[in-house]
Amino acid sequence: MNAVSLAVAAIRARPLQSALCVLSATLGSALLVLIFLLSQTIASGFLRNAEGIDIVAGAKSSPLQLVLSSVYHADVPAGNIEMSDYLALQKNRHVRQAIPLALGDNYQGWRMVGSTPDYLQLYQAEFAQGRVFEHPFEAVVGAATGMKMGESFAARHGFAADSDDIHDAYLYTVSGVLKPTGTVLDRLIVTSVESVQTLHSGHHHGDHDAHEEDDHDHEAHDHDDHDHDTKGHDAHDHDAHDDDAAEEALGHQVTAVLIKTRSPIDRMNLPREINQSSNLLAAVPSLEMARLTKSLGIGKTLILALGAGFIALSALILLASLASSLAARRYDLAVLRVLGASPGKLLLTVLAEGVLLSGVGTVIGLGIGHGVGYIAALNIDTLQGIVLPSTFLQVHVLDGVFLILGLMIGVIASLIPAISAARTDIAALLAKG
Amino acid sequence: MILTSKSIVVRRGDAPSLHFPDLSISPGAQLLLLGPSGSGKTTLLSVLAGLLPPSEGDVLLEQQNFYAQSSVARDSIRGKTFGFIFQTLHLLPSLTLSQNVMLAADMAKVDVEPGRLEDLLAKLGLADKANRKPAALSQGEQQRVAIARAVLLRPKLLIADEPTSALDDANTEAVVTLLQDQAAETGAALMIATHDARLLDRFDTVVTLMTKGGPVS
Repeated sequence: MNAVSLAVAAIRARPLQSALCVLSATLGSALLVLIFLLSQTIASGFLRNAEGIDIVAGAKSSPLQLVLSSVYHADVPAGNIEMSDYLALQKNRHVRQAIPLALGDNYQGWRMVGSTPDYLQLYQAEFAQGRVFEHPFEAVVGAATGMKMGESFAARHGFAADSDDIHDAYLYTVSGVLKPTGTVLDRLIVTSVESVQTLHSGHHHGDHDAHEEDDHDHEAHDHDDHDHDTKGHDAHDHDAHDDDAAEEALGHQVTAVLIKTRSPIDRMNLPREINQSSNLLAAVPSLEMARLTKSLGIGKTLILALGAGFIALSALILLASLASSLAARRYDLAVLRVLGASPGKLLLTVLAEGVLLSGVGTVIGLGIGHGVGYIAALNIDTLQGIVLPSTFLQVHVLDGVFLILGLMIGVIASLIPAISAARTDIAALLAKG
Repeated sequence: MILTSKSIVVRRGDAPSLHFPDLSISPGAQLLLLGPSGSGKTTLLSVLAGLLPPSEGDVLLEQQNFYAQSSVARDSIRGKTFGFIFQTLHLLPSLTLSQNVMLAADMAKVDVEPGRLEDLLAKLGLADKANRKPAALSQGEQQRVAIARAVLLRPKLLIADEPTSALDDANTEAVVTLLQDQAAETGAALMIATHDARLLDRFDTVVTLMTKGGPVS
């Protein structure tokens, strides 16, 4: 019977204490790995979604709102811009590529994006079935929508799935289904800009009450720096007629333009040029997301501190548990010494006990952290299209680091009890009986 | 001689010095070390077993100075040469009966001859309980497990520290008989340290320790 099997025997002899040690190590490691995985995958998801987009131009609002609504489709756009603005940007000598976006409709909660086939190429999308939209009111659907080839549907105005404002004058038909891309494209329905514009030309409301319940209610978002005087669209005007006018304006407008510049210098200078010389707002996605990540970092730090606290607590619980366990079985250990075990063997036995408890707890915690992350990525809407659920099921270098950390904590917590066990004065202990 | 001790004196902290009689134990000898509580019986056993270096004097194990060996070597020699039985049995609760017995071989890093464990358990009436945990055994059965653990490796010297102090006359008789029989069967010398005067007539050789390192007879 070696040190490890003796340690296992000791662990099994006190199941409640052992379970508590394992549980505390599990909680700490699960929390830490979950936070690290989330922050890593969200950061890489932000990058992946904004890849190839240097600048976003749209109606005057907050830069973050513009980026969130146009790149990540996670916020409501503040307004629209004229087609002429888009065409001017397209011709700008600093612009390599300008991709228009016409937003404002949904089908069953999946946002519709009027754009060009370049938008699909931006995400290197591949077709699982069908082809790109070629004719009016053809649409390409993302993998997460679950929509089928040839399916016909009527778009609803706004971003709420239960909007009563149904554009049933024209029906869209699914011409292509995309393979999963791990980007926001997975949960979008993409059609041509012209289709969206046609749909909104001559748009009439039969039911204003219903329209008031529409998700295009800008009161829902609370950006302090929201510009209320956006061009062609009063974002906070709840008058149904104005909203009608704005919606009809989309018949000759677009919502935003995704821009790829010709050079890094252009990427630095063009936003300033746009912001100073036009009524448009230009935002740099990487800068805005860096700002957002920095502000979220405070929360991350708090949760990390909580995770570290759990780890420290687990070390203390382990230390207390081993110390009390050793006090209770000092005589048993003395018997082992009398039977021929060296002090080194006792030291190794107690160390193995601590390492086993913290190691098992850490491994279970890593599994739980990955599992919870995976379930969260599948079920939290705001994470969809930003994080890839499958990345939570992969083993990362980070797991190795956390496992080593867990084992080290086991060693550190059990070192004092182990040394104490090895240095026990056996003769004095036996004399006490 | 298996074991010889000469002029052993132990001083520990502020306690009075303990002076012990010289001992010579030959193979197969059976010796009673009788003394009241505090007379230093367990201390002497610790010295003889290589667990406590004496302040003065020598311990010779098979004519070799035991304390000239390193601590690790003494641990190894003790595991192979001595068999111990304690008043409190200290069987490990999460191990089965046979695992508890085999601890002696595991700690001493000695291979047990095939069939030795089974034969021993059968002789001690424990064969059908080999896979039970100590908690499922009676006190008498646990005592036999402790004896099996002590004699598994056929030690040259079997030492029992107060093995009968908590037992009634009948059980005392049974345990002493068992120890003497097992010692005789394995060819081991037997030394029982006790304050239990009931054992006096079971031993031809008796060494008496007086209190607090007093005179020895």
